[in-house]
Amino acid sequence: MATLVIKVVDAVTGSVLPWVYVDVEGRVVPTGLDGVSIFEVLVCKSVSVKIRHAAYRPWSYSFHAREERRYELEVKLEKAVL
Amino acid sequence: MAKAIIASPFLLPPTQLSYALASELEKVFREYGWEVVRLSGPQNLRVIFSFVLKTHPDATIIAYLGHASPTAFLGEEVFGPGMFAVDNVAEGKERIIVGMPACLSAQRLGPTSVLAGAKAFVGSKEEMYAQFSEAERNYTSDWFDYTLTFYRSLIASLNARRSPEEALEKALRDYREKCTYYIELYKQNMDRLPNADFYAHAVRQNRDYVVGFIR
Repeated sequence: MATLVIKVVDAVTGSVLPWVYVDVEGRVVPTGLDGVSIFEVLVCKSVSVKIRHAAYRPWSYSFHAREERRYELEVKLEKAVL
Repeated sequence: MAKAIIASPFLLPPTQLSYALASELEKVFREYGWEVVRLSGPQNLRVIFSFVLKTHPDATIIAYLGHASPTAFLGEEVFGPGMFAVDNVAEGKERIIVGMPACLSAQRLGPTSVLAGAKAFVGSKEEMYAQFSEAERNYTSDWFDYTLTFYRSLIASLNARRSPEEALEKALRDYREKCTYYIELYKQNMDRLPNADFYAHAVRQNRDYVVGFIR
């Protein structure tokens, strides 16, 4: 197994975004107060990552862990509401 | 020649998209034979907007595309009172004011404008979404399409000398129909469009909370 650490921040201010919906292969772990959400994922298998927040542009991605290690992903979300 | 004022700030995301939409709207107005006074980016300040309203009393439509609050079109004054707000709505007398796309303006700014003498006001009671171009689909052009459907219908009806009330009713009906088309399209393709779930929600919100007020 590999560890996927996803940190979600505002693209303009850089501030972390808590309570963001993070879905990895159907398993949902909202970000904590530090904007971080952690998942264990299978090695050598692509997994879908979906990040959703009511006020921000959606973010969808296919992640592939090549080896057993910790992967850190910082996702910068853009505001989508006027 | 009929005349419109288009106000399109550019300060905070996603106004780079609504600004581009305003440029397309300007073309639409010109296609229909209207003269356009455009307030671009940093020109969207209260003092400039007031001046433009005073110097163009013949501008029938005011179209605002940008950030708004329940009480104001914010323009570039995002942290201030806004360029057109409940305390200066009298300046919009006898005009058709459209805040689209813009958030929340139908909550207080809309009814207050109409009470103060605007012919009509169109805006949203909730947040309005911008749509981005994603890898799998250009959702921005869909957003442009259904938003411009509203404006095209409104302008065509006014050119045909329909009353503001009739023109607005038809424009809202056409707009909602086009929104529904995109919602269904996204729903039917959710398995191959990874962001379609979000955009179906966005269009639904952009459709369901837009309302019109007529004097």
